[in-house]
Amino acid sequence: MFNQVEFASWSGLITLIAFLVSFSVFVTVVVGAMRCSKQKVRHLAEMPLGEEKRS
Amino acid sequence: MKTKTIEYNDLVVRQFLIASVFWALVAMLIGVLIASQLAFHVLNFDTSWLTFGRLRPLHTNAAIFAFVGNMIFCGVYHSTQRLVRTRLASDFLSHLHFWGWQLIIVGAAITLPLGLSRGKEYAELIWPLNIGVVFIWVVFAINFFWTLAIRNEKSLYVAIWFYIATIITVAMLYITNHLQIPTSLLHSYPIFGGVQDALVQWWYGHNAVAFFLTTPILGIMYYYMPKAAERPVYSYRLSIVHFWSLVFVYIWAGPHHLLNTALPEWLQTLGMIFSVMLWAPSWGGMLNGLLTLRGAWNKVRTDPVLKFFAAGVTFYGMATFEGPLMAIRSVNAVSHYSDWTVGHVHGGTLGWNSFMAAGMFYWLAPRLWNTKLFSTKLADIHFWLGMLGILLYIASMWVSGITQGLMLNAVTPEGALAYPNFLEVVNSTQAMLRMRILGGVLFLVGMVLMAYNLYRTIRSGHPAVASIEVQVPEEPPKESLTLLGGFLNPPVIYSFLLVIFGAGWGFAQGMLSTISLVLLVETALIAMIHMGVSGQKWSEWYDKLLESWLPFTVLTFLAVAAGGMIQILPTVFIKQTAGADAPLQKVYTPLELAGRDIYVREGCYNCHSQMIRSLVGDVLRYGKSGRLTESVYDFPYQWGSKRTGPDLQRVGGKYPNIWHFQHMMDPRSTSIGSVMPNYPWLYTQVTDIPALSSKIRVLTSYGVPFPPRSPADIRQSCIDQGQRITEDLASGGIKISPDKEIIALIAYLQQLGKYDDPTAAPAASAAPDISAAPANQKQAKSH
Repeated sequence: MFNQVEFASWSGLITLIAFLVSFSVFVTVVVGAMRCSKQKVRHLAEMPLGEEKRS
Repeated sequence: MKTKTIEYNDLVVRQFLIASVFWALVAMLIGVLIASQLAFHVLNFDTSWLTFGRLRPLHTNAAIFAFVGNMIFCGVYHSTQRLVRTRLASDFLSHLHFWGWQLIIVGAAITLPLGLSRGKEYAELIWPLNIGVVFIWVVFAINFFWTLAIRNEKSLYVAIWFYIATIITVAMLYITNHLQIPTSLLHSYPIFGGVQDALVQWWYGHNAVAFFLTTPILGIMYYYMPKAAERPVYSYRLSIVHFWSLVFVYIWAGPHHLLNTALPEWLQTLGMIFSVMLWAPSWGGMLNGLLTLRGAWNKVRTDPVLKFFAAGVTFYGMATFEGPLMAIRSVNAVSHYSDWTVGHVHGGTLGWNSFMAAGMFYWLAPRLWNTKLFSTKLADIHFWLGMLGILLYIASMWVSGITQGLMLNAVTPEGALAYPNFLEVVNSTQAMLRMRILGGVLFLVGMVLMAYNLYRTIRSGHPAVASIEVQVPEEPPKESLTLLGGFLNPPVIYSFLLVIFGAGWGFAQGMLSTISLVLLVETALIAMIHMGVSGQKWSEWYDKLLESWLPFTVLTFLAVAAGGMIQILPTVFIKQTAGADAPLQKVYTPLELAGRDIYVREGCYNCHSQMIRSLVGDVLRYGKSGRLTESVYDFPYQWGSKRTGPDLQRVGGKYPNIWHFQHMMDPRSTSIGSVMPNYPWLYTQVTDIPALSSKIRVLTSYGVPFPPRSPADIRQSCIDQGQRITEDLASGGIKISPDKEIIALIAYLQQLGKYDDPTAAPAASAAPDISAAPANQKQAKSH
């Protein structure tokens, strides 16, 4: 398990690329959230407030 | 469209609620006991199954998996049915989930005090129970996702997103950190060792906090706070940003548990930066929760539910401010291994988890049993007792922890330790440890009041049957996006290409960089023209994603898996033996291995670290800072996370055998003022030598270079080494058989810090070399 390939400089590069990919997807969904219509947002926000019958 | 009446399955919700309250009392009672043991060592009762080292894992596992676990399942099952307007998919799976989970908890409550432990924090349960946990988690996942698949509400509320993230991330973390090979029915070794094990462990440990103690509770917050305040969440858009920020950032922060250690520097920096980044989403979420109470603050004064929620969310804000602060390397130099961490953790679990649980239970119980809360007054008393308890607890741990950190790191102008005797530090915090007990007792009393209040509430009502009427189409509705369609669509493909070409432009050299730039611009232009001509909007994909649980789940999994893998893979592939200037750990003899397993069984890692940090105070006190190569044969690693006692990484040879013999019998006889328990059973119990063959075989399969030995050779080796120790003890007037466990433990302790190359072996505290600190970092950089 521990006796494998030597750690090299590529790990730093992969970190940056992975971060960029993650950050890009994050920005995409956040922009999507910001552009969500008011009607849709209101519908979603009020979802927990529905009533139910109890007996 | 036709009208259909949906009757919710609230039986399982009621069961989980009752179980959560019961296990909360058990977990906190054990918590008070072990807190008392640290102040009054006699409370260990010289009894193996009552010692701190064995009960502390029981306390943490009971609090996390039994109390909070049952609370999560209660909240998830109740709110999900309402949010997706359908009954839970399977009554059978719901029952199996509940009873299976309780069976696992009972198994843990039996095995942990018996010393059956894997020796990894919050992951101590033995392998048969690990399989049980995975099985029941899969049952939970199937029941949950199946319910989403048959839902009568198209949109997925943000609470459901948090639940999805919890289910898939916990599964990924748990399975990875519990990869192991059994050596017997009750024992196993993890497949990762040394630094790899440390990293995987804290990737798991940190994210257990993130995705077990935080994200599901946030989902619960987003459902029950609007419900209790009778108004929608302050900003739904902010809740979306909160979710994605946490998912993308949290998973990267695990390495902050290993700052200033032998972990490569780039990983430490990564962990620190992402931890600091967590401030923004955490506080965004906290403010969103608190602002949901806008216009309802008058109710907080009279309604215990809102009181608990408001305080719980405030504690979430406090804990998530404190966590990133402690992840800054210079702050961590003081806080790590100290009581400050204990205070931080309890600010989160008592303040955030327990208060949110209490608010949810007080809201749920009257509705689940169709009655009124027995006593609002009693709930108010619970709140104030709990609040006072938490404040006493965390304030005492802050004072104690900062005192410990400052005293242990303090150096005189001449360059010597200001407080060379570790016990001086232990004794200086005794008053705080007693105040902590008081805080814990107050909190426990509050929880007992809650249990009584809920009991009387339940007694006064009857199980309610809750139902709604929904309009359902004749044909079952189709998902907006298929799994494939969720990813193979123009916005996703264009975004992916833009990132790839952008990275190529930024990181590639020469012609490749220029080509990437050209492709980047061209792709952007093509995307704009294509989307414009076809009339598609970029947001369409996103809107559909929010209504399609499967692509959404896969996307969330990719987000958390990417961050995790980037941390784990480079270190798994590292050649730990590559450091030319570093000494290589000596392979354990069979007796030392047996001693190590006793060390793990007794939970010594709960109070002793085996990792000297690259800090002046550590190096002066314990010797050269730890290197990656010094724990390569440690399965599991034993770096620890708390120093109630001193570090043991280089304790081998520091004291004679007779010192260890007397110390384990009565720690006060060698170390006046010690709070360590006595271990009398080690002097009567016989070392399990027959088990060693199987253990060595498994470790050999991991690559540990044990010399080939038959079972008879192993036995002989143990007897020979044991006899050498007993002969040495006999010269001090002590007679004991070499097959006793204390002999194996002494053999293990005496080899700590021993290396194959004697010229490279760092000396203990006798001749400290402070230059080891930058040397260690240099080594990490050179990787």
